[in-house]
Amino acid sequence: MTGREVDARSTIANTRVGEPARVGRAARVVLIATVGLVLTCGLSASSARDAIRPRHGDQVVARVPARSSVRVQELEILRRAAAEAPDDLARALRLARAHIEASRREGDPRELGAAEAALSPFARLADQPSELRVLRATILQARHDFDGSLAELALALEQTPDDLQALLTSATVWTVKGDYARARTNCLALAQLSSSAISAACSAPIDALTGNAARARSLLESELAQARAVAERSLLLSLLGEQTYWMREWESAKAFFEQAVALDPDDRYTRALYADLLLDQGAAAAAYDLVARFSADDALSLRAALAAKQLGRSDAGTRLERLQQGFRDSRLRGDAIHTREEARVWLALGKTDRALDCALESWAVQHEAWDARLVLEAAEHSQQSRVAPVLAWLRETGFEAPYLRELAARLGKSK
Amino acid sequence: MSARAAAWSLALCVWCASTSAQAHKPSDTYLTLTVLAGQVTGQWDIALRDLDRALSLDADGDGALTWAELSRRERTVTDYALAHLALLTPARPCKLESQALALVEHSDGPYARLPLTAQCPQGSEQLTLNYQFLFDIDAQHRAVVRVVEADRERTLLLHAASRTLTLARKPAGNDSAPSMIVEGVRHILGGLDHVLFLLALLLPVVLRPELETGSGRARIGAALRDVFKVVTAFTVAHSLTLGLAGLGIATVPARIIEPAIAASVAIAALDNLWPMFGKDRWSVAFALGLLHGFGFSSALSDGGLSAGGLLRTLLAFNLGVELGQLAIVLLFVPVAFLLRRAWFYQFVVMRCGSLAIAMLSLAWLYERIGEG
Repeated sequence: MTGREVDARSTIANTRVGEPARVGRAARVVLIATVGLVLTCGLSASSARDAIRPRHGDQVVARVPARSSVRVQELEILRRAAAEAPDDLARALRLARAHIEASRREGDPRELGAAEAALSPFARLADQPSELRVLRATILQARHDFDGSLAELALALEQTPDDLQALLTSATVWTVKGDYARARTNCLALAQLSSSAISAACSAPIDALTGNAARARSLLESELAQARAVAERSLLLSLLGEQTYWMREWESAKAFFEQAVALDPDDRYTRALYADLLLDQGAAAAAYDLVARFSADDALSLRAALAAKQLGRSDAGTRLERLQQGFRDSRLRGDAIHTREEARVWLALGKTDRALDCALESWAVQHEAWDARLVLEAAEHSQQSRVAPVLAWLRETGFEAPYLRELAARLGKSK
Repeated sequence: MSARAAAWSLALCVWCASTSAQAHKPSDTYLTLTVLAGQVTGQWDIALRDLDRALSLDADGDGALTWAELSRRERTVTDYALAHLALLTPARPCKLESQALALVEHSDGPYARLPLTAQCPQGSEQLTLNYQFLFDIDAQHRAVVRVVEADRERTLLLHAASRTLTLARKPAGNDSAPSMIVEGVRHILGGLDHVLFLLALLLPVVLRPELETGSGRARIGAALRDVFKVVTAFTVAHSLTLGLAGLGIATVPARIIEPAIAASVAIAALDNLWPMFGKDRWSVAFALGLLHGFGFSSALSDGGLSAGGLLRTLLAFNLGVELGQLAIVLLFVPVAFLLRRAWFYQFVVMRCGSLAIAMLSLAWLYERIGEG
């Protein structure tokens, strides 16, 4: 053998005989023990995705609506009534309305699916009553199919031009889409048919968005002074809270929201807005306390996660990850209705590019103040120029929200 | 409720519904189907919430569904589910069966996982899935269907307006075994970490001093003996764990196994440079081979093969792995044996090669730990 052909290892093996064998054996033992440890850990590691069969019969495996609850029983009665007479449209409408009501109360989209199922046998009726169309429109709107909703409402209003619910829903959806002229037309028609409070609730948001915030505010406040019914008052308080929130009048907004939530603790929409206010003020602890127990509600658990992040809580990461898993599942099923929430989570995680993508996706479908804000916030950090539509919207509407105007001005300067 | 109050309550609904995202989640099921020539297997995840809606499983109505309440009606659940799912051929329907269900978590809560097997008549290339589940109760229900076919994998949605799906099956006359053998070969040849592990084990074998003494035949014999020991140890180990995992007897999550495999490659490669384990490395090959077997099995489970135990499939897959391995050994060892005295082999291939393998596998280790 030449020097080159001598392997270093064989040199060692030839010079020190007993020791490397012991070292080698020890190393092997350590290796085998380590592999054993890894496998033991692995075998006992239960992943959440593993399917299990519980061992104990009294282990609770799922929470479902309790049949002992009055509301669930009422739904069951209506469902049975509709099943007994499948051609009875009135029963189907009652059932659908009850399901829609349940979906609003519980924040559960399965109830909307049940409402739609109640109405689907009548989808091919030659003569579709406007009531049916309006309920269908409500379901479509809740799933963010705004064009579908408007189509149904237009047909409903053709039949019954004085349908209060149709006018109100139509005004809402036109406002969301940014067609304020059409929305106002609906509100004007409404004004002739309903109380001044409903009329104010219809037109004030449009006024606020289109540069008439002061008029909107005074209208709502004068209505609030006269309103007696709880439902009226909580609606007006919520609207006032929302408007003063965007005008950054923190104290007024806080007062309005507090009253609204106290009057109607089940109003998740107002609660979510109130949490947004507290988060903006940096009062993350108060925001967290407001929403933490509503873990089944997507909108409120979003605010809880954002509050947890602001507070630096240890469960913030898990909360945000759970939300994102929900978003992924939603997209997997072909829905894209959580784009605004997705944008907020991406912003909280510092991923402004993805936040901007989601915010623009949301803006394409709905032109609300929050969507505008998210586009501008995401763009500010990522220096992109895709915000032109939002800037144009701000200019055309004259929306007076100071924060949005600031963001827009800053973006305009950096271009 | 007066008309006005009704309008108010709906008004509240109207304003809130337009802006906030709904809570909970709409109703979905997740159906995975693996379509091989011999049979169709799969699993169907159905939300317990949906099963309760359809069947009122919560017997005492207290809102807490217990395992006792569910398992008491397990048969009803399975029958109800299968009554709304059909796999059809032009000739006649396949016979769909399920075994014991288990529970699994999805983002909106617990689901029942129903394992599925379908016996389909031979000779039919086209299968149609007909899905009728829950639309009568929930018109917005969707099925997320993942179909694993012979040559591709796809995910599709079924909903109330679109309830059927066409699946392709390889033409009859093709036993599933050959295709699984091919799969096995593909997985070892395509699994760079497995290939590099094997090579790292084999690189120094031809450099043993015993190979330099004795006659030509004795030298070859010595080389073969070492190769045989190491390769057999690796084979036995990974076949063992592949079998355990494939039959569902023992599984290890990928987030633990994948980094462990990367580490094993690094260990084997580093041992070539700084020998720790001594001359007889077959026990090292065995211990680390156990990890690789679990790695192979994840390929099977990704393909939707359930713990229902397709022993024949498993054996065919393993055979494929061994054939692939044999190919590597037959290609590498003779060449290495012939080149073993060259500086090129000892330095470039053995040392630099081992170093490169070590660095690559450490990079994998870093990556895979990050993903876990």
